[in-house]
Amino acid sequence: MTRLKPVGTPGHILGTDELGRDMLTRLLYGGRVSLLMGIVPVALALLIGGTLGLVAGYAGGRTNALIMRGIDVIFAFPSILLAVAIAGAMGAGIANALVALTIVLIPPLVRMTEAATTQVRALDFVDAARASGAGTFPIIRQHLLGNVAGPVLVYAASQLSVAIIMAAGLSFIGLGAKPPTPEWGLMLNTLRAAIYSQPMIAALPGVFIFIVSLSFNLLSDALRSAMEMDA
Amino acid sequence: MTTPVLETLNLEKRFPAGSKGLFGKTDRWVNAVSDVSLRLAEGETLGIVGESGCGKSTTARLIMDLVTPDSGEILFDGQQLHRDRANLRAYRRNVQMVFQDSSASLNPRLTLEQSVMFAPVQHGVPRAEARARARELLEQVGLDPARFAGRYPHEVSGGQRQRVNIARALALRPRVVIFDEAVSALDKSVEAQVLNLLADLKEAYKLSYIFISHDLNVVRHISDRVLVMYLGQVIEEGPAADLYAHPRHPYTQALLASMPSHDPDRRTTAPPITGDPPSPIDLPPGCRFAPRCAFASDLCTARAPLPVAAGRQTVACHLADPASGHPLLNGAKT
Amino acid sequence: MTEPLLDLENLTVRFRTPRGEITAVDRLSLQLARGEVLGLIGESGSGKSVTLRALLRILPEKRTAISGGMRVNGRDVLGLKGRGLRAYRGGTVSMVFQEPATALDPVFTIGQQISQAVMAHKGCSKTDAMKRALEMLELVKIPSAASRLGSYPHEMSGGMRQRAMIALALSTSPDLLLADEPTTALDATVQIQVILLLRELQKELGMGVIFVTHDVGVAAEISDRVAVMYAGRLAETGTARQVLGLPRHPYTQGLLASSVQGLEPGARIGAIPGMPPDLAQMPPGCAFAPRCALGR
Ligand SMILES: Nc1ncnc2c1ncn2[C@@H]1O[C@H](COP(=O)(O)OP(=O)(O)OP(=O)(O)O)[C@@H](O)[C@H]1O
Ligand SMILES: Nc1ncnc2c1ncn2[C@@H]1O[C@H](COP(=O)(O)OP(=O)(O)O)[C@@H](O)[C@H]1O
Ligand code: SF4
Ligand SMILES: [Mg+2]
Ligand SMILES: [Mg+2]
Repeated sequence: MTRLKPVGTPGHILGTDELGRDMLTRLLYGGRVSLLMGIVPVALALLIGGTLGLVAGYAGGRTNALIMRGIDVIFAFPSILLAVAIAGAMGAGIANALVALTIVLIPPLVRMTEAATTQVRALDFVDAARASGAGTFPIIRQHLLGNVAGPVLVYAASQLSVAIIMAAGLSFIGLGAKPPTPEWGLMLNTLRAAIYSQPMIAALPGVFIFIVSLSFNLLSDALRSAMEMDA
Repeated sequence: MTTPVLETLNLEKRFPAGSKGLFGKTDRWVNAVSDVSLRLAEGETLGIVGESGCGKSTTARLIMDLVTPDSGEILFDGQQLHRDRANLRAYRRNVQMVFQDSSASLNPRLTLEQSVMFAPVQHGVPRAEARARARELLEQVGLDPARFAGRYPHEVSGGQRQRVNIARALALRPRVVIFDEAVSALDKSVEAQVLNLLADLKEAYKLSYIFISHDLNVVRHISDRVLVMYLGQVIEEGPAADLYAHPRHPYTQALLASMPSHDPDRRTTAPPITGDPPSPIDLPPGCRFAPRCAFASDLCTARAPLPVAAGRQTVACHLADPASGHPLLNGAKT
Repeated sequence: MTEPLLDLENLTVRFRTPRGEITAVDRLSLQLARGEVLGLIGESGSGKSVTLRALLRILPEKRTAISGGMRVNGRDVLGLKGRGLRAYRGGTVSMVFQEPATALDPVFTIGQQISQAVMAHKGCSKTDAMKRALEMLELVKIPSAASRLGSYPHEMSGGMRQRAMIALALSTSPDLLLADEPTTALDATVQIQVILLLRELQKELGMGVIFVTHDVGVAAEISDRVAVMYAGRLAETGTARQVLGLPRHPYTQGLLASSVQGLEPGARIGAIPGMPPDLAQMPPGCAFAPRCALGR
């Protein structure tokens, strides 16, 4: 008969899935993949987008126009569509999904960093540092980075939950992780059939996605208010 | 004449005005500074006055090379400034600036001591020595290093922040310091303390000052010579005492007459001039002051006056030039 | 004696802040007669703006405690509520702010803003209100007033915006005009024009005016009487001639001595040592004692 066992079965606290695998184990291992697919693209996008934004903001003028207009072109598509298109073109697989998510996350981070940099750049203390004969690199490191990092990190933290949800979405439609890898989005898909017999089990991966992305949003909020305290 | 420590020749700077095209093309320009030449003698204080937007800060930024001029030269010790790295570094050690907004001009993430240390460290001074120098300077501007060195800018008052800015400007042992509205945001009682401090420091370090302010009283108090700007141009220049006693340019006269009297029994009865300064985007033809000048004639709108010597002052007005043919010059005869 | 236009008796304004309670205005007593100009001078943070805001009842209600007496035209201002309060604000008393750029609404034309105020307070028709707006712009000498009715604030220069702000404040014929550093943001040549304009209008309309400034020279140009504030308290008050000519309070003396006006160029300025006290940690007794040369 069915290998699905309900929540609370002795030995399987959260039940088993359609192939009789323990749900708790798969959810925990799946968390590893989902977290990876949330954190890695955001970290990569932060590195690439943050650098581009800093350069655009500090240099201004033509360099700025070039970078920002380029970003506008990418950003013209809704991000989830773009991720689907890129992942679809490159084929399924975790690595390809990571690349697709990174590309999608870069534009908002460039914009955010550029705006913050331009704002700080206009303050007199940056001019004072330039006037003291300091080079571009020490100025960026000492005077810009510290003042830009705060808001950008807060923003990046809020993107973590976006990335996790998009990663789950990609896997759900078969463009991310491939079976038998436990991944929450993929699990949601394979458990679709169980929705009538064991709705609790079918919903479990969704609940985890919800809780984790909510946690990241709370983290981002906490970061923001921590920054405000010392400002 | 001895070589001035700092000299500028015909500095000019325009900024693109308003909305730009895709790659920053524009055909409307803000004429921020047109043709500014000035000389700063060793040990002298040169005051610059003028209304908001007349180009005082842009002149200061041009001298600091924070803004690159469209044309014109800067000379330091008689040597033309070349904009290569080594040259600029040496120049910047010698010329420093104190900005108006005391809070925007300090990095909120650095302690006061770190802010003062930054420039010397960049110039290769060992950290320990730079720290010792910073503490000595803080002491000198009246901030006890034991109490203030580790504080952040938002933990001190505006007057104290401005003292830190002054200490930072002195950290490289410059010979020229430019003050752009450096006391304008301070309360009167604190302003007085800072002005006294500036006088002491000037003597202690043998400095030359360029002092920019819209407060005509303060400029008279601190300056040896004064330069008056209007819409990007120098319209009058001369020793402070002469210029305040006998302003020659109609604008200088109006500006000085606009100062509040300080005596309730001798109040101003009529406004010396009417209207606001016109926009630096669409400049009037001829003399830029003509639209507001009580003595303007057809000549004034037709031809811009050139600076001429009048006593110890230099004035750019047709009325100061006997050869200009301004109708009011021989008005008595006709 | 006739009743004064404004009567403040031991006005006290306290704010609850995260750092504890501060007393921004401390037992301030002042009177202002009709047709009189009072110059209120003092350094930043001395409580000048808070006094005006308390008078207009526009301080944040939850965090503010106002006590003492405040009567305008004999009416208790602290007791006003609802419709009475709205008629009072902008009708009996109106205010001119330091930064006309932020005090005017950027999305309405000058004409709309003035006519809205007039309609709200006088209950007249839109056409009449626009007529009044035009009159007001002419009164404050805005060139080509008719075409300026349709201008937005950002289309005007600083001086013109401040004139428009004055026109707006006067359009409802207030009995008392509160001016909070209305010329501080203006250029010298424009500042004197606005001062002369205010002086002229005040005479013509017979209003009482409280003119806040930190510039002693400006106070001398406009005030009949002068009040000096320090750390929320009244240090000295009297006619402009008395206070600025023969100051009695050591703080006023210090303030006048720290001005470079009339001083030999390059001479040492008689600066007051130290800084104003922290309002959250006031010294006992006289607030000026720690900085006072006579205070030992
Ligand atoms: N980066 C810039 N881009 C465009 N316009 C500028 C820029 N910097 C200055 N301007 C314009 O150049 C003119 C001169 O400006 P500047 O700051 O030198 O005036 P200022 O005399 O210092 O005035 P204030 O007394 O208000 O400080 C102004 O019209 C100003 O708006
Ligand atoms: N809404 C508010 N909440 C807390 N403190 C305030 C508030 N408004 C003003 N203050 C404080 O009250 C004091 C007097 O302020 P103010 O009247 O604005 O000074 P000024 O004399 O410069 O106009 C200052 O210390 C200021 O920080
Ligand atoms: S040149 Fe003519 S318009 Fe210009 S200031 Fe002299 S008199 Fe006035
Ligand atoms: Mg300036
Ligand atoms: Mg105020």
